[in-house]
Amino acid sequence: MPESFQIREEQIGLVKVFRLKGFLDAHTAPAFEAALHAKVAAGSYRLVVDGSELTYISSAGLGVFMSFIEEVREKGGDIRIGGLISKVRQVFDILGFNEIFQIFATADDAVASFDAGSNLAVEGD
Amino acid sequence: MAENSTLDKLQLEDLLESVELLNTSVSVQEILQHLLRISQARARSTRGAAAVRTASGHLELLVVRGISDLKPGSRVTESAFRERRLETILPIGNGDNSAGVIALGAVAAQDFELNELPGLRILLGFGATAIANAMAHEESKRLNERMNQRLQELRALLDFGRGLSSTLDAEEVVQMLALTFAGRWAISRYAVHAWRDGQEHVFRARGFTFAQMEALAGRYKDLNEAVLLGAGAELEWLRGLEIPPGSMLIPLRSGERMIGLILCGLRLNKRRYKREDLEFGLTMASRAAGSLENAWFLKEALVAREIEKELELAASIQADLFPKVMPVEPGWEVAARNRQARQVGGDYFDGMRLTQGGARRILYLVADVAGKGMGSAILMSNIQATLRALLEHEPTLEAVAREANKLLHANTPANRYATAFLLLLDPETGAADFVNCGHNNPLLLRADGKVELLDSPGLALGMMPYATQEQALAEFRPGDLVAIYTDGVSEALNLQDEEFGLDRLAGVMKRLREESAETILEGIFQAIEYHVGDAPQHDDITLMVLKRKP
Repeated sequence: MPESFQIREEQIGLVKVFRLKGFLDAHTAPAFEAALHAKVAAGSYRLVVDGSELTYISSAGLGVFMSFIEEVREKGGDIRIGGLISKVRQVFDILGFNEIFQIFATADDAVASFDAGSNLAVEGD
Repeated sequence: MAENSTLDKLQLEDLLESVELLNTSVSVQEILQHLLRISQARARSTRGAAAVRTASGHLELLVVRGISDLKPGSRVTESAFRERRLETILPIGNGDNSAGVIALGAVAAQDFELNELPGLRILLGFGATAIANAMAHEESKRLNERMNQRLQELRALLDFGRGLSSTLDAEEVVQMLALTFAGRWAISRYAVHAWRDGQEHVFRARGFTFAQMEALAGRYKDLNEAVLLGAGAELEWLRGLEIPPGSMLIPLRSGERMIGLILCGLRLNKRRYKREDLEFGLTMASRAAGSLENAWFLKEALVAREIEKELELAASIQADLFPKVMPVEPGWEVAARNRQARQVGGDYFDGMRLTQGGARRILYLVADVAGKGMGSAILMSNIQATLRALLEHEPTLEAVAREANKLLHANTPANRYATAFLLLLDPETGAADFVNCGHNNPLLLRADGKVELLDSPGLALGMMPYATQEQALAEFRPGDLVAIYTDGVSEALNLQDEEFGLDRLAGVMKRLREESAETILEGIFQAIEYHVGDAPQHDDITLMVLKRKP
């Protein structure tokens, strides 16, 4: 049986929050990609991914983030990430995603960063 | 201050402070900065440089003070220092095995060698140990980083493998492959194009076009390994295509054939592709190629299964068309049999009782429908229904054949037609009307041993829009024997490609003419089997034997 993966969506102000739970791997990545694609296609460009319940991420899972980041930024938006547990955060860092994405301690911080303006510094290591 | 060579208080304080700092620092840069700072202070020197000795033995400049044409990070020699009047060169640690050097220029301290150098050497000795520790630390960090990268690669491969095992769809395989590359290398632009003869292409791309992939496929017709694009003369061509140099191209290979290409654009985190990345790319691609082959194979198998199901259905339709019992009147014997070469054949025989003007008649029919499978099975049932309907209303067999021809031509595609032999027998008198619609001429063996062929003008049913069929009359006398057959009988081939032929057919009929119709039928089938031997059966074999008892 493949590990379970769930996505919950929530709208906070102008920000669309995706709360991920479980395993984001090659098997489950297409579902997340479809969810992100639907929102981007519908014009949501301020996106936050809440990773506090994400227990595992693979390269394919990270690939989903790459699929939309350029388009979203061209539209003046961003994909920001918050609440990663350290094991998952480590994968982001090893693959250099901390150089591309703004990663916050919590999803709330990530949501708040959109209100505060779009040029917040990347959280330090 | 002390005048002799022992360390003074200030030197001791420097040393203690330095040892503390050196022991806690894990940065070679930081250690060298500190050593140079102290050295310059003790020598009252305004110009200086510090270099570390690398694993390969040469000196790498890390810190420069007051010299404009030396760049930190570059390779340097002691003579280069001397050329820039950095003439006091102090090894960090022991001479040849030193961890690096401090080079100082314009030493202003009086009696530097006597007063300052001994203390400085002790400090530099500590410095050597600190540098060794820091380098070991950096090396282990580097190893750790490499190990983490390898671990991520392995995880990606395992994860991809798990993903592949959960899908049998080529599109999904390509999607997982693309996402894995995108995540592994932080790329937002990529394209995967996989192809195979007789299959739809699979294409998935972000930021690249199909035209770009076609151009790459045209240039890289048989790529064996992953390559970085943009080497040498290719640069201009690549710019014309608007593919950034430094992108990676990976072949999808299945055995000897290239079945696709993967293009990976530049990495958003500015990292470059390394040797390991090319290897990883090729490994992933070969896993994906295997799954693509499987997916495609499955699709083919499913199509084949659909065909199989269709054939099963056609066969069951067809089986119902053959009469369970052939109608026969006293004084007559009839036997008929059909042996199909494949699951669904194109041959058909039938027998129907009719009344014409109160008189009893029997229609015997053998037909050979063009084509096989569902289409011919449907045409066959069409012919049966058409004939049964027409026989009720049309006055003559000729009219039946002509009307059937018209209906079938109008209602079936041009390549659908059937040759047929129809015989309408009056069992009382032995007189029979027959219409031969482009069919093999039945063989009539008279009681006196003469052989006749039952021929009448006419083309196959449904072949032409206009009527060509004409009826003829035959008279069957006691002891006469007729074999109505399809070309599967007369043209049954042996391994030498010799046909069974009418002579052999007539021979068997003559030999067995005293036997029952059933026995004669069986004898002919056996003779065909004997003739054919081990040769495969190409065509359906259908035979009807009608005998008027003597």
